[in-house]
Amino acid sequence: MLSFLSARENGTHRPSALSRAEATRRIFSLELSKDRDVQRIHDSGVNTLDIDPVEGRYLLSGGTEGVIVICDLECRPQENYTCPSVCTIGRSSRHVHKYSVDTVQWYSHDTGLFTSSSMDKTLKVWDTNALKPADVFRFETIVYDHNMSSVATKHCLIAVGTIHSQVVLCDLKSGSSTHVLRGHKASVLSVKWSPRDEFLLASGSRDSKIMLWDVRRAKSCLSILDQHNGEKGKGSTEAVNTAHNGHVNGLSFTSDGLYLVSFGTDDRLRLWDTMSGKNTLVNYGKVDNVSRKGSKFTVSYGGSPDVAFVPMGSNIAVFDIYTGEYVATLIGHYNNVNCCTFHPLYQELYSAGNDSNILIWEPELGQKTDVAEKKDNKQSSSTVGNAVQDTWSDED
Amino acid sequence: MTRRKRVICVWFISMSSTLDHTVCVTLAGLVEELTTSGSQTLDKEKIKKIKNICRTSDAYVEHVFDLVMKQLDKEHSEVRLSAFQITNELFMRSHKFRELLVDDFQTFLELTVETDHEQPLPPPKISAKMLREKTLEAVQIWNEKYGKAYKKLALGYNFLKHCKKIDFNDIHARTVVERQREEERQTKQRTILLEKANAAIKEIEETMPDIEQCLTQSDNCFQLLLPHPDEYDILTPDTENTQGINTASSSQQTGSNLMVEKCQNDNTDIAHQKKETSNVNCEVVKPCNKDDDGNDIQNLEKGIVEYSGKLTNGTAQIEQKNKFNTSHAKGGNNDDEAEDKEEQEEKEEEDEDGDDDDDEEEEDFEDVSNTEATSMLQDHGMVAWNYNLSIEVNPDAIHIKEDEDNTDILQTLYDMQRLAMTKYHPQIQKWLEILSKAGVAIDMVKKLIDIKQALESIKEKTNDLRIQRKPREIIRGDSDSDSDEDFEDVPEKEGYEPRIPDHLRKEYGLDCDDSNSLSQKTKSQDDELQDPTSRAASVAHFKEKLSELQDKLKNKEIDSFHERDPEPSTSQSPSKKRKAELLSRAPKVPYGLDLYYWDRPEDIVAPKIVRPESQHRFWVPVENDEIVLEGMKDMVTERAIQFSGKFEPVKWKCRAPLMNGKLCERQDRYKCPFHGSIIPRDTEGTPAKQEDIEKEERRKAQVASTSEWRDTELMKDIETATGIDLGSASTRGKGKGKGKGKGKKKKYPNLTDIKKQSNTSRRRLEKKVMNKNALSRVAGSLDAFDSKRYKEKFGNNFNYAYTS
Repeated sequence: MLSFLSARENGTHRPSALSRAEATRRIFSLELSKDRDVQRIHDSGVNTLDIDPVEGRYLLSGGTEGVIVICDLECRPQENYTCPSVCTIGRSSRHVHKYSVDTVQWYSHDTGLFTSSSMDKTLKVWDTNALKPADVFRFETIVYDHNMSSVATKHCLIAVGTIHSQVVLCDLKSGSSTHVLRGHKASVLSVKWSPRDEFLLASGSRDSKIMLWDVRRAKSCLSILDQHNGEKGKGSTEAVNTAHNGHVNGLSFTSDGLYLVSFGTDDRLRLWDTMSGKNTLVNYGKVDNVSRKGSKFTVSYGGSPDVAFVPMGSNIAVFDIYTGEYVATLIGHYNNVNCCTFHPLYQELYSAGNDSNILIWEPELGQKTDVAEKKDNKQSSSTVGNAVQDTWSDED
Repeated sequence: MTRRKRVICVWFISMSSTLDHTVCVTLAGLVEELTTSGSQTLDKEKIKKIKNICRTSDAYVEHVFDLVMKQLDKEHSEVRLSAFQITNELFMRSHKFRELLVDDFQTFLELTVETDHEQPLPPPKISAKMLREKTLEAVQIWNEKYGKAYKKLALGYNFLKHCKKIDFNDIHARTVVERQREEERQTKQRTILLEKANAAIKEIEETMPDIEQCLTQSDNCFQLLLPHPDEYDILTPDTENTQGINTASSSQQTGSNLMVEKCQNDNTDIAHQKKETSNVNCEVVKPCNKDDDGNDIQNLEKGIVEYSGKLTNGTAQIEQKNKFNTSHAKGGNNDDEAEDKEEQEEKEEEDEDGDDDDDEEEEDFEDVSNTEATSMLQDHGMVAWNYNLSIEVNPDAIHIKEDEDNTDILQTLYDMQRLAMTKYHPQIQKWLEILSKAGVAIDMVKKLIDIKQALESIKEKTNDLRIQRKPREIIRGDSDSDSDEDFEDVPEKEGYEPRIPDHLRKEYGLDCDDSNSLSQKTKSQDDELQDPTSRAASVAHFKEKLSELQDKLKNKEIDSFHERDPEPSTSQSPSKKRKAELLSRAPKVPYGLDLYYWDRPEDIVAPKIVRPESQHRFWVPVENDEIVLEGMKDMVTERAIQFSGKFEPVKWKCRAPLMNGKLCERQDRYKCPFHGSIIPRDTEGTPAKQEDIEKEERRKAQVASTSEWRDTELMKDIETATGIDLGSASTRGKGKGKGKGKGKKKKYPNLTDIKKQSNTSRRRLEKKVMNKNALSRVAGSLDAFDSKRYKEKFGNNFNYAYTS
């Protein structure tokens, strides 16, 4: 780190190099947070998390009971700090989702608005301050996933993947669905806007295909990603190009939008080049995928090799996305992990699962010494210190 | 993955000289001993040793952790319980251990609290439950103590508390799953009960008309047999008055119930008179049976059998008359023994018209003789003021007797009763059970109970009627019994009725005299014999002759025997005597082929097989000779003798002590193939005689000495070196092999054997039936059977000749 600092001072490195190096270091040393907690509101499993992109302060979470909770993550230098919930749309609320909330997302430019979609066939656009839905889109079928572009300036579309094979685009401006993108043969489990191109949309479906769409061209998709890159192998005698040998239930763009990571029920992760639509053929090995709905994995932001955090049963597997190398397993949940989301500012990971916990994973970097120092200061009084001590009794 | 890493890490550390190999071995031994002890508490000494070792270095703690986790993974709850107890001890002590365990807390919980429903706790159920409870308790304590320092511990505790819904205050610590299971079971049961109840209700609705019909039928039967007193009130006060005294005399005509009523009326009358004159002493003896619920039938049916009026003060004529009456009544009783209203009425009306006339005559006579009495009679229905009426009612002697008039009614009544008691009653009982269990349709239950009572009352009523069935029934058994014979055999028995009442004889086409058909038959036979022309007579004649002849022959034989073979002891020569003796001893065998050739063995010819000459035109077998079977020659002289002695089963056992502590169960007659000749032994298996004990010891010593020089190890070495089997395996090696097997079994003798618990009768049977040999044998025999049948069916067909 010191060398980076001096190099930066000398001007031999670009300023971003230092931050990148530090971010990478932090990302690779994630551990279960010892000091921080998220207040426990959800009684049942948590399906989805989102951190607001404006301040990085509010954590939005949707549970299987239809409850939506917003927590304040602002950290205070304190030993056991529980992030309090700011507001809750609980079961008592009139506007609460009837069934399990599958996806929540903040509006990318303002925390005054967020969207949530649920198994009760609705997509709600919420006014955060009033905690009332500003608009409700109703669908004929269950909504699996929805996504709003984080970079869009020219449109205000929400892509919605439902149990029907088409992807519906809802326009917030008009309050109605404008487009329908047809192409998939089965229900769409995951939709993601590219963070690079505001019109580029990726959708993953149960027909094991991933399609890239340019929403300006509603007629047909841009490309269908093929896991074999057009080479007709033994397994790809069919005419259609498939991305996975099972359902595609997770999609995530890298932060620069150049790559797309997909996760399928064939227990594989694949990395796609979004420019060429080619499979980069990175081998991540077998990654257990227990989810049969969408699996909301995430990709880190700002590291020099970025990593993917993939829910794998009750653990979270960490992979280097470019080399496919296994980095670590984060063990902490007691039941299946449903989603993880990466905090881009502090390089923290938030994960939630069926055990209704929201866990914070933070970089473990030498803070131990600080704690130890503190402990030395108040050795006698600290209960934690006592707890950590060995207590071999002399009578033995 | 992490586990493996840690193992490697531990291994690495141990390599890096912080771990002493011997200490590790002792640790492993201690952990194994502790976990396989099978006891519910840990040995304090051993755990202390472990603690002492762990105290020296964290590396040892890691090593112990790995050992313990390995034991926790064993598929045996007792092992897991002990392992958990070690964990608990160390968790309280070592920070390092806590860190390690908390890192692996998910697995720990899975192995101890079965958080994963797909991995239930292993078999011994009691210890599994105990393990669960103890772990939950411990987790709670740990969380209180260390929850703040170890995040994942707190998370785990919360997880148990919130997600698995474990109520930590609940001692039994039942999970939601268990509770759900129980609820499900209960709901299932309830639904089953409800279904049953619904089916029962349906059934009830279907059969209810039948039952009701049965009830009404039997009610009607009772009505016909014994009208209800309400309907029976024929006598009005007017008729009573006009009939006057003669009612008393003609009581046997009008029937018992009338009589009773009459008596009652008399009684009231008398009481009435008593008020006026207070001169009359009246005594009415009327034994009443207790009857249930206003059921007056008994009252009626216990009619008067004997009626005896006793005049204390009155004219001789009246006395006479009364005597006449009583005698008459007795006569009536003699006729029928019992009196029943209807039948009696109807029947006797015909029979006793003459009696009526007599009565009337008497009445006239009475009237003439006693005008005062007549006026009294007219006024009060009494002959005179001053006599005592003592009426004895004998309930025991009264029965309803079966005759051709009421036999149908009785038959139906019995049918109904049987139907009610054998079919409907148990059925209703069953329904009641089902309905009350399900707790539905309470009014239905009430109705059912009513019907049940009604059915029971049918039985009671029939019992109370004391129906005297026809004699054949009585012979057969108690007519009340529900046995089938009562009803099935009725028509069959018609012919065997030994005694037919005189008045019925005509109907049966019989003469009035007492001789039955059997005697008639013999009589006719006698008649035939008298007739010399008949066949019977000639047969009898020949028989006679034959018997005479036989007698003669017998006498002759005896005479000749005495002549030929008189008493040998007294008067015969010694040679003859010897011969007789030999003869008496000589065996007697049935005649056979060997006896045929016995005195001329040179005549024995070997049996031959004669081949029939070939009928073929040109294909002739080479040898067309007879085949002489020389070997068969001996067969002719031989004789198979069957064992004529009596087989006596062996009553004793070998009872030599066996290795397993039991006694040898073999039942050999003289010698046990394993333990030598059989000698008397006591219950312990030691020989009873001193010499036998010595012998046994000698033998043992011999065995020991023979095996001593054969050092097994040495033998084995030699065997492996030379490759020749020297028999070490057969003698000692075998024993050792056995020991090995036993050792494996008894590796942890204190643990509950999980496999043993599955040793049910079903399992044992399975072992026998599903045995490979047995299966193949059965399959083989079935195949053979099939092929045989196939051959029988198709063997002659040309088409199939080559297929099989």
